[in-house]
Amino acid sequence: MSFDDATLEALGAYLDDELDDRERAEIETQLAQSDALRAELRAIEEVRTAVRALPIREAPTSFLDSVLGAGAGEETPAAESVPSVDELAGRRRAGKQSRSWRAMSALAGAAAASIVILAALFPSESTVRTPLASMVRAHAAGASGASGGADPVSVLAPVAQPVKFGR
Amino acid sequence: MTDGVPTWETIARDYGRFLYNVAYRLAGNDDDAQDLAQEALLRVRRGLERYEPRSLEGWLARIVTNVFLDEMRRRRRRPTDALPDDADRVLPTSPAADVATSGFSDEVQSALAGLPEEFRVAVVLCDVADLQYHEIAEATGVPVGTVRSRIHRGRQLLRAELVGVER
Repeated sequence: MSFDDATLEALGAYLDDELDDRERAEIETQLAQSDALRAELRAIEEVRTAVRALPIREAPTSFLDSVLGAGAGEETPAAESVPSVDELAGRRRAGKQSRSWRAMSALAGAAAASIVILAALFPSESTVRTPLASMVRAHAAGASGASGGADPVSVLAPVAQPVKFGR
Repeated sequence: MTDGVPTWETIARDYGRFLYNVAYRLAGNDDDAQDLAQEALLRVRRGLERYEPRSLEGWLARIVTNVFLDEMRRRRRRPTDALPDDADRVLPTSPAADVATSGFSDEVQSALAGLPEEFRVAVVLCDVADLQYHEIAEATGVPVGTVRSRIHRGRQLLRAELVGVER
């Protein structure tokens, strides 16, 4: 069974808690009546979870230093301590040049680490793809510190309930 | 902080991580993410006197999104700029960073990077920056209905890509 775009858009907005009361009631009625629509909801939720579970990407330690200068980390909120735009641009250019050297050393380290990790993870040549849902679950569990929360969509059947996420 | 407006240094120190993470998910690599985040912080400094205390993260996300879209427009005008121009643009910054995004996260990031810009921006602002639809609409200058549609289309494309990974 296929659904129109408006219904599918509403499913995503439902997961994001972005529907008004009338729309929420309508979509919950449809969800309660349709296994296929609940399956669609679950599929959207998997993708949403996959993106939300992406790890926080940490900036290199030099990033804020290059912006804030040597005073980074000190409690010096005075306006005069803020570098000028030109100063920041200069630091940015200097940082860009030095990053090339850091990248070379990082490459050597990364290569060594990758060999060790790959040897541990893939002892044989065979690779087996796991289903998307289980990959997402493992991915999300890793991102949440393995807290092991239940799949929120699974609580929808047989009667849909709004899914609330921390916002 | 004066009248609820944080100092630039406070923003850089407290929200630099947030800005960098959003920039990374938009740009897809560390080097461009550093450039985007630094340029965003420069614009924050220039625009801080006009900031009206509301959602600081929404305001910052709007700035880094504009920096990203400006950069994409600039590269379309000068396509050679899109090519790697230094080693670390195509290399991992550090072994630790490489490990942090290994496995399924890499597949998700890759799928995200493959989205058309308008869909990528909508999904990143929703699922990475955790903005509400009206904040995304404000940040991108489109109606809320368009935001809803773009998030839906973006997730559909991600789903197709990730299901392909599964096979």
